[in-house]
Amino acid sequence: MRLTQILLRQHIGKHIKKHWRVQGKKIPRESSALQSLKDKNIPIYEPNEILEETRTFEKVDVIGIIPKQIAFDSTHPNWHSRVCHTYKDENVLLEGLNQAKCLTRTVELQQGLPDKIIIKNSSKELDSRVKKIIYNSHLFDSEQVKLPKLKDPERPAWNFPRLLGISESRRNVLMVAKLLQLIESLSGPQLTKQRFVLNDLQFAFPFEKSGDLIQFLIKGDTLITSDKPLQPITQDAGQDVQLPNLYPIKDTVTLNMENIYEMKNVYPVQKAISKHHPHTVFIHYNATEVKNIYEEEVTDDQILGRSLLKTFTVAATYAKEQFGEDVKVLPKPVTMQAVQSDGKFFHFGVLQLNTLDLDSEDGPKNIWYQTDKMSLFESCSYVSGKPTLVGYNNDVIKHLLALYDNV
Amino acid sequence: MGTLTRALQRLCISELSAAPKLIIPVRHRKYVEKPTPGLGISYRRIVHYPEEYTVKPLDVTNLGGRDPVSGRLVAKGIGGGIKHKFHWVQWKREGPKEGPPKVEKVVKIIVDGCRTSHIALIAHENELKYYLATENMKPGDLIRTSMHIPRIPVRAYEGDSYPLGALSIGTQINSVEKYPGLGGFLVHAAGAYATIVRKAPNNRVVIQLPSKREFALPEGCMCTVGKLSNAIHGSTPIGSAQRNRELGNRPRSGLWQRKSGKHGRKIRRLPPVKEITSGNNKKQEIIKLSLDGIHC
Repeated sequence: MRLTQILLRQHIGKHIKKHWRVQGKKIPRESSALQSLKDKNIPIYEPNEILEETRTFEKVDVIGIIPKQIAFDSTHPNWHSRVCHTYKDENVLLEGLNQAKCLTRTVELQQGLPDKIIIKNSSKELDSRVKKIIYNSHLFDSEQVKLPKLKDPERPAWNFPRLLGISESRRNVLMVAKLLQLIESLSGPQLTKQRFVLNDLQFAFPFEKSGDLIQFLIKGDTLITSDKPLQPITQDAGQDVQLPNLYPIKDTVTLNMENIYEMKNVYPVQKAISKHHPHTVFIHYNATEVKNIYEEEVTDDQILGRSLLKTFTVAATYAKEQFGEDVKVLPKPVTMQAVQSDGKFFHFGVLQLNTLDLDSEDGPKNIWYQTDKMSLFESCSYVSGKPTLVGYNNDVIKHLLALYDNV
Repeated sequence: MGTLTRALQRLCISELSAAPKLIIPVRHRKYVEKPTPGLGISYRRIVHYPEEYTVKPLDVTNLGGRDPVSGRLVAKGIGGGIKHKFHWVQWKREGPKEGPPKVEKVVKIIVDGCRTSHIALIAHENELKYYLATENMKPGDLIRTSMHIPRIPVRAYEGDSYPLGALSIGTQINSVEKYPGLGGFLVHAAGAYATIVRKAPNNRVVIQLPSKREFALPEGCMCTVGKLSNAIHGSTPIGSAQRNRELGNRPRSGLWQRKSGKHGRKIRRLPPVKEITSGNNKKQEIIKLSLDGIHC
């Protein structure tokens, strides 16, 4: 044998590989074998059923192992097969105020606050003190945290420098606490003695409406309580006024559908406390937390709806605590005031709760009075290194004073 | 020293339970199968869909033209840009088979970064969903959906959804199903619309697509009436090279490509009307034979 035969032999490894690549893929053709085996009652197995090893594992209890965390699924102790529509602090209603009115069976009889609440003029000194409070909580506080990212819709690729400053939640807490302190100092000890200020209370109001289970779980960021309940505003129970029509939307739209829940009426201030009647609830609005499920901007109307729903929850939990679990039409109306704020805008409302029978066709309705959303100032920032407040509006402090003085 | 020698003497190859595996030199580069682009799979992004339908904007993973299986570059010219969340559009328009149509409300028209036409947020009872927005749709509009095919064509308004057989000839439509139950499949781009041309035998309706091709579809296929929104999209210049990068496109070579089809197609006669039969095109299972894992 000559050496050249070996030397000139072609290396065909590459070709074999290519051959495998192409011919290694096969589409099985349909044959009648399956059918004929079936006809003869011969059992058919998938190859994996026989080839795969089946092993059963014994469960061993290991002493000292960290127990598993409770899973939020059907094994949870509070799991129910029936869905509960839940409203929480970060939710907003799709249809805003109208949907809140339908949910709580509430109507508006007039524009603005009730005539009983008298709005007095403010003095120059008071205005300057409010301005100081604005500066203190918007600019001078020592908190320095990363603020939410800024985006310009016109230039979406532009990344703004990350700002540090006072967080929204901190600003809200400071504004409300400081304004309340100011008002208390102005109102005199006689009135202030009758009031308590409580922070971070949790309310829960479960009920059933048109076959749906609904629960409002909300936080009253600041609640002023008094030793006497507020006097009812009107005798008119709004029977002539129609509720808004949401067709074709149901009033439970955008509420969270949850299976893990506990149905329990919670009014956190005990009856044993002398000043346990709710007077005014302060609701914080934090734009980074309160969101639409579809992540679009929250509208003004939705913010107004939030005020009504939260005020209703506080009043309704109190009414249940006061008049019993099964109360329908209240023997005496419950009146509640509300202030919602993000530190810049303020929204004032007054609710007269006449009934907790939210399902009935006719009968009394609850009454809601509200102002428009008003701005405390236009801007408060450093301009050329100097703290500057532009467009201060003293209507806000006048309204706050009037609400606090209301008995 | 003596102990070390003894220890080394005791150590011999026969004691090893498994012989060390020899590393065979690789002669060829590992072959990786790459898919061909243009077969209906996007190499721009993967959307992380949850199990249930939701209107919550979804997270995406941008692929930059890479095939997620092999990781190799498949589509050129894709990469970078502004990351947009994905709005899951509900393609299926389901209504009652008989009786009055289902009425839904338009809540908001939303500009979506992941597609050219706008989308509409729709509310009905407890549900929220997105549909493609038609040209004149605005918040507060009521839109109807019905799957009933009456003897006389229905009077349809923009945004309404009916089967092809229920609409009169000449109607402009979008989001057309290829076969009943699939969900809107044809005509999704901004400003696009198909036209109902004529009825065909075997309960079929012929529609003309924006490409002027004619399809004969079963009359039960659902479609939405009207032209899609954001019609100016096609006539809006990108404006700058940087804007093109923001859109997620990479720079092009600028070379004159005579044969690639990039600079227009040859004008030919349109193909004949295509009849779409059934949607049960099951993919046949391919068995892969290999000798991997068998050691001689």
